[in-house]
Amino acid sequence: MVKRPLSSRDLELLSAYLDRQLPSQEQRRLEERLKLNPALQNALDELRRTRVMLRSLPKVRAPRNFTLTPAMIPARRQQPYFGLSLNWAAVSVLATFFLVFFFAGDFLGVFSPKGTMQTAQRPNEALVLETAMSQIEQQSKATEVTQEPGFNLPLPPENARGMGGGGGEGPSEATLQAAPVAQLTPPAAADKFLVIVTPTPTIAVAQPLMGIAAAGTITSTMTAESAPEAEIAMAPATEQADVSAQSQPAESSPTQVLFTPWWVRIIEMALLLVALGAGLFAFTRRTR
Amino acid sequence: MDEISLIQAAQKGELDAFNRLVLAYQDIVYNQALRMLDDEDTAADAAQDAFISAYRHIQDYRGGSFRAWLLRIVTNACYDVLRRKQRRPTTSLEPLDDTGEEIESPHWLADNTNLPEEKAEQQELASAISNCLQGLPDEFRAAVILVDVQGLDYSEAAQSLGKPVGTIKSRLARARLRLRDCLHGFWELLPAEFRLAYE
Repeated sequence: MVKRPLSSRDLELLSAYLDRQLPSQEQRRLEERLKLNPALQNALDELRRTRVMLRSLPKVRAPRNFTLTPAMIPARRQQPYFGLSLNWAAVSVLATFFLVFFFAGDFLGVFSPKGTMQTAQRPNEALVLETAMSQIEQQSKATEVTQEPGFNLPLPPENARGMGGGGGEGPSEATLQAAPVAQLTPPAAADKFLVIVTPTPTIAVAQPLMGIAAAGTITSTMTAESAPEAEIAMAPATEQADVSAQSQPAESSPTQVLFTPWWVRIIEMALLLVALGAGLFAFTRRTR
Repeated sequence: MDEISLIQAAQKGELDAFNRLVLAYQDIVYNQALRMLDDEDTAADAAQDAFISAYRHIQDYRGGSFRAWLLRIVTNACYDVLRRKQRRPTTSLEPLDDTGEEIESPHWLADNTNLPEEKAEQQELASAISNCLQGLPDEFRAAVILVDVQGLDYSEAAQSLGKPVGTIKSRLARARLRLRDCLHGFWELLPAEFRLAYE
């Protein structure tokens, strides 16, 4: 009698069925097929016999005891970490976690020294600085404005935020030219105020804003005495602002950038090396 | 002490605790090596090497079936022996008869004339099964020995071989098919109690 070869799929099904390793639904389907297919049933019977024969092999006792003596065991290497066994996979995971933490902090500017900014000559760029914005808000609330004749700088509303600078209550005729950023300092006297400008586009607007980031960059602190002589170029305000725009040619102007301390970079590199090295070591030990 | 305590003590370096584990598992480890290698002396060496390796790497044991962990070590030791044999085939040290032919090892051509018939049949069947097992690829042989000879379930066998359960199922099925063809005709040699249990 010529035996039809079993398909590999049927072979695996029958073998798993013998060991009761089939899911119940598949088992029921196979049992239905076995009732209708004598050849399949015959194949199952033959596999079952084979398994019975294999299970009849006697269990042989060990010819001697395989217990170890100290002489059999090679001396362990000196562990430089004082007997602690390191879970290299955990070391890798931990290093990766700290690396992500440092990258996130780097991105958010957490490691940049607060209150200090450097400028870069980058035309056509403006950066929003959240920490500086919060300082500006605090300072604007604490500051009284001294207004010169013809120089009308209304106070911003209480909860004004630095978007577009539309918080003014009325038009103003004064404009101030953007000045290079010196340093943000809290106002020592009531006559100091903080002016916010954006580098570009440099648009003179009729409604200068104080304490509100027009486009979110800080350029100078000024005293009231110097205000009439300066001009502020304001970024486009919100729709509520009465802006008389006067485009000025875009010049390369200082842009605020955050810098990452060198020690943060070194830590990031070291963490990257530790994460990769420990992970690779854990992987090679695992596959041994 | 229970097994977990013995393992923890062994991980701290207590050799006596590890030796108690050796005594508990040496039969199953030796059987695995014997069925893989089909040679008693080589199997004993492989089992001893496996226990030495297990002690050296006891810190790597992270839970789960300790039996499966040990069987993995001894199976890998057997793979090493088989690979070495393939690279450097050894010359048999069996004595030669007058015609220059090797005198085969006793367990394969044991003189059964004085043994009861049933025992002789058992021996012949065991020899036939061992012979057929040696005809399988190493990976198939390991799978069928673990499940059908040692009695492990699929998940434990998968742990022992470091392979997914699906791979074990596939290798086991194909090994059984080949053994079915090889052992065809030896069914009648099976002891009565096994045949009755089947039928």
